[in-house]
Amino acid sequence: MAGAAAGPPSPLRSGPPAPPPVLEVDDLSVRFDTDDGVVRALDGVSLTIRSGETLGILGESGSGKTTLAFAILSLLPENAVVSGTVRFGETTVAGPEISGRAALRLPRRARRVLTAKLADIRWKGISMVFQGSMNAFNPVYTIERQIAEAFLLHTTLNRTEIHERVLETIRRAGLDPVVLRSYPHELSGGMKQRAVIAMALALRPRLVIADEPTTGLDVVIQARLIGELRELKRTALDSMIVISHDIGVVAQLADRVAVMYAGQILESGSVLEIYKSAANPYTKALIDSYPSLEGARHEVRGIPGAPPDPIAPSPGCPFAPRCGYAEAICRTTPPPSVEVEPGHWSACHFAREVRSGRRAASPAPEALAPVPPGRVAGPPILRGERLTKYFHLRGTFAGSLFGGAAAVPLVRAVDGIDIDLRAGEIFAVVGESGSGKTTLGKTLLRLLTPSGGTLAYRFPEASSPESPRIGAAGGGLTAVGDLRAGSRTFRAFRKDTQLIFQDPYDSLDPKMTVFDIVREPLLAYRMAADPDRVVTRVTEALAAVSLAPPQNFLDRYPHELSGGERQRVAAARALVLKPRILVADEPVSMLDVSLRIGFLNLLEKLRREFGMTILYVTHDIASARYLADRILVMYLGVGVESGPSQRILEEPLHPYTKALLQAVPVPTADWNPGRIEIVGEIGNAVDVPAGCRFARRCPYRQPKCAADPPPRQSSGWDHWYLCHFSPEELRSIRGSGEFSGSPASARPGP
Amino acid sequence: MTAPGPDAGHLPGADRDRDVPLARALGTLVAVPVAVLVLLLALPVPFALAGVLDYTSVVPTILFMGGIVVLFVGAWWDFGARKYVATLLAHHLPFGETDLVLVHRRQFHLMLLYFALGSLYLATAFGIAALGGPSG
Amino acid sequence: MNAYFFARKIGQIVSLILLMVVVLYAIFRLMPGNPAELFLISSRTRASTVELKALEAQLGLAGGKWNFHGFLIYFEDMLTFNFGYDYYYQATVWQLLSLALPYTLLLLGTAAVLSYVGGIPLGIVATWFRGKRTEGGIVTSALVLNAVPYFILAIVLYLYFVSYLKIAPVRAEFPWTDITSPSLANFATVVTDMALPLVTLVVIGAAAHLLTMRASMVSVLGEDFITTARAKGVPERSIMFRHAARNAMIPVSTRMALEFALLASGAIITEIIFSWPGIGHLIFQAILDLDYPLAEGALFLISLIVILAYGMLDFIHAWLDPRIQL
Repeated sequence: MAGAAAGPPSPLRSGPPAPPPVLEVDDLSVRFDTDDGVVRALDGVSLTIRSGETLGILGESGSGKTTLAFAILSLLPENAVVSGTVRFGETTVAGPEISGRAALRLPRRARRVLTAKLADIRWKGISMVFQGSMNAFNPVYTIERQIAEAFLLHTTLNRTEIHERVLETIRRAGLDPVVLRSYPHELSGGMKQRAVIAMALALRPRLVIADEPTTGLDVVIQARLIGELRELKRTALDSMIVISHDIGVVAQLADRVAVMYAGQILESGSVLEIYKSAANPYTKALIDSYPSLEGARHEVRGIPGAPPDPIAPSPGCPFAPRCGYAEAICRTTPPPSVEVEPGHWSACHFAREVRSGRRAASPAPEALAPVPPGRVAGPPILRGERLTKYFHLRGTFAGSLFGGAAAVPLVRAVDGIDIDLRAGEIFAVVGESGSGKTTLGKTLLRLLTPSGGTLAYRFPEASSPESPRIGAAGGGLTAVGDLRAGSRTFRAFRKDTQLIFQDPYDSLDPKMTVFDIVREPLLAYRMAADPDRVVTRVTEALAAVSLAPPQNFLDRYPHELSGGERQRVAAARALVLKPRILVADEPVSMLDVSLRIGFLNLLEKLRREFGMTILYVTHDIASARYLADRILVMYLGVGVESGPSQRILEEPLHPYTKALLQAVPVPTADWNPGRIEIVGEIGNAVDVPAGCRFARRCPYRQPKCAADPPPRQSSGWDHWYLCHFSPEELRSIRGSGEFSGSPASARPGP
Repeated sequence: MTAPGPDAGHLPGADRDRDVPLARALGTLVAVPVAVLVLLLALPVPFALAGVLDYTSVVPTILFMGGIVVLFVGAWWDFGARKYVATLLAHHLPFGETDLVLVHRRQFHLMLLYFALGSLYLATAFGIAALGGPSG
Repeated sequence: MNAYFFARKIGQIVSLILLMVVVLYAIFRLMPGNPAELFLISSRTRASTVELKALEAQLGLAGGKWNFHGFLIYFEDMLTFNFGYDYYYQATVWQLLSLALPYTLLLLGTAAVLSYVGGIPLGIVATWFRGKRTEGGIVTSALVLNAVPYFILAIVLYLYFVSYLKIAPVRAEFPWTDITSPSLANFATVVTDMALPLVTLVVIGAAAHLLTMRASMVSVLGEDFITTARAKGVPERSIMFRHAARNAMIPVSTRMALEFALLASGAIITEIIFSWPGIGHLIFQAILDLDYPLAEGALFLISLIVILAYGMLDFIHAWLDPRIQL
């Protein structure tokens, strides 16, 4: 562990000859004057980063981590009021006299000197990889022009020299120089992110700030990028600050971690110290919010409540209202910073007790006891056989007109999926974006009409006194795949099945109250005749999603609710008809980490209390593992592996499943993204290979993989996978790390 | 939009039915204006028989105007290209410079096609006017 | 931008012009009243059926409003700028228009250029001073001016400078030779004659451009790539003009066409109020008189100007935005 920890108020700089500090943040507070009041974005933050060191900053949205980055780059807006200082080497880049509002009052000449000084430090001294780099490039200029701009501003090189340096920069980032002539919209997400990193490293700055460098990318690309960043850390980078909400990402890149909450550093120390023996309740709760892959299906708690209002801070510890350990003192007195171990600081009244585990937290209301896996196995309730959903591009009007000779007719979004939902189970469909998982979810609910295959649903036994006798095919299942929309059977099916969308911000009409939103399905199914019953059902639905007390929410509008509450309202809307099957399409990907688990636990509660069957569609195999009884892994429209989640996790057989599991960054030392040998990106579901869909990216592929479709092989216990290799062969790959045959050379996909 | 469900993992002939939908799409694009033309020719007939209007004088004017509208549609309608490209991008399909040029070329050709159809309207207009004799 | 795209844009402009010709014809034929009758009434003669028929034949109206022969003559005349003989002024329409067109082009062209050149940079400047009193002043006055209709400002200026102060001419009377043979004295005449109509158009037009540009700039400045540019150490001026302005111009350039059309309509009204001897003035008279040939010719010419300006702005838009355009 290099360098001393940063801990307020008096960082103890211990240890033998430490390298000189690159950046020192000393008791930095930042307030913003807004129309709503004073927002306290940062509150007494102190940090030191030494040469050769990487600091991770862990925090959720609203924790002030981005404000900190902006303060370091002296990019604070003009309504900021700063106290404390940030020093980069010998230069003060932020301070009460020179930052934010105060900078406006400087004499003209002093301001010009300051601007020149700061302009010199930017990018040459400190550069930044921005969050959501989808928009980090100016859309109207080529990549080359934007990277060259950095050289133009900060060096005296001529045009040809700059061109050479830009080429070198882009090659170092592992990109094809063709990229340089592209406009940003022409690049894929992964390529753009690499180009952004390349630009940040172009001038070889002393400090790079990476703000959520991998957020929004698919897990395999994320793992690859983390690997590349770690490689750059050894070769091209001096010191770095990694900002993320994901403890896995931070842990894999950083040497030390500072945990931020409500503008304060609540804990800092080495990565392993913090992960293994956190001394702050917030850190503990945050770590517990991640369903981890390792270990048994242990209980995972969310953090109840919402982040504090930055405008009206409490006098005591900012985390106290959500803290399971909180005592009276926490609400009145700010906690002192305690050094629990050399270099490990925690701002908590009970830091030592929390660390040693002598104090136990009162259980969060949403925490649930672990569920034994495979507990429920009712009869099949929804069955898809050889289910396909193709989108025609050529077949459509425009497709036939504008598809060139090279274009192909269909997108095989779902291509021959066999799926069996059993009553009362939670079934997860896992895949990267582009795998067809969302299309599968919609096709199963007949929101999309399947192009082929059969879809059958088991209506409840005594269901239909009012509906005509629904012709029961074999096994009590009724074919719903080609029912006419609007037929009575179809309406009965539609009523029994509901969907929760990904984005809680888009899916709720901002002009409707919560009551109106939740009541809507009742109106649609003409069940709103009796106003009292409507109110009862809406209230019940809100109570079912733990919005308590429900009466408080009826008259509120979506914008008055937090993200987690909105997603609960969306769930209540789906529940008000008392459906038997619920499809949740990435329901938590837009939520803050500490709120995610709460929503997943809610799904579990719904299953438990109402016997609901839930299809959970996600890109996050760890959360699928946490929530689901069974998992189906999808790749380019086909299921490549399926089985009980426990078994998939313990013994993944398909190379793609293995890669997905390996790609999840975990805060342990032996995680190695370099082990992920699959190459390229997922591509598209159009020009699919004749043989195995995964063959182009598979590190173990043999000639027959590309030529013949792989057979479905069973390895018992309801576990099957789609591959040419037998379970024994695949296990031997895992054992030796290399297949006995000659591994195919790495070739990027199309 | 029901595709013959091919066996999973077995590719149907990707180009087997390539030209059929193109021909059909072009057919639709031609058929609609032609149908409108026929309609414009037929609708005034009862009025002409009733003596309300002079068929050989008024109908050509309407046809001529209709022809200009067809030209306009051909030049300004994108023929669904916007939505098509958006769909391509949504499905992670490659769409490069050559594809863009192809779309532009096709759009240009379709514009010419509609210019030809508009000319058909104009020709019909002159034909009917000629039937009415030089007095107009 | 490739040749096919270019060709299609040209096709769009041509088809738009043709459609406009047709729509003008239809609009005028759908208006109530028979021009021949009106002509005879206004000449205070009690028309007999024979006289009416003779006049209709003379005016090319024989065979009803919608006869093809008349339409063809109209169509051909429009495309050859032969707008026929005007039976009110006893001159060919083109003679009248060609006298008026230079005045309109002078006023409209100067107003368009000045309002773009003034409004867009002012929009950038207003963004530059965002949050300061300067911005508040600029934006508030632009909001007020933008809300004022052209004719109100024109009337106010007219009443104050012409009727009250009497320092501006009642009507613009400078001969076109003042422009073709420039001298200091001629120039002074032109400026005094043009000042009020020009100010009316430029002030309101520029206010609109300013507000559009500022709104667009503010949203662009919130984008991530602007923060990236700041972090790169790009000076504030380059951020404004090089990084933000070009992106902000993309939505503005689509609106510019619409605003040019508004400006053209404003020019018509302004010409009427200040008796500017341009096409707007002619249109006003012609519509009051149901003077088909002149009104059609004048409207055609104004529309043509607007369409050509639109086409040019479309190419500017395509050049500004490298993203896919269809």
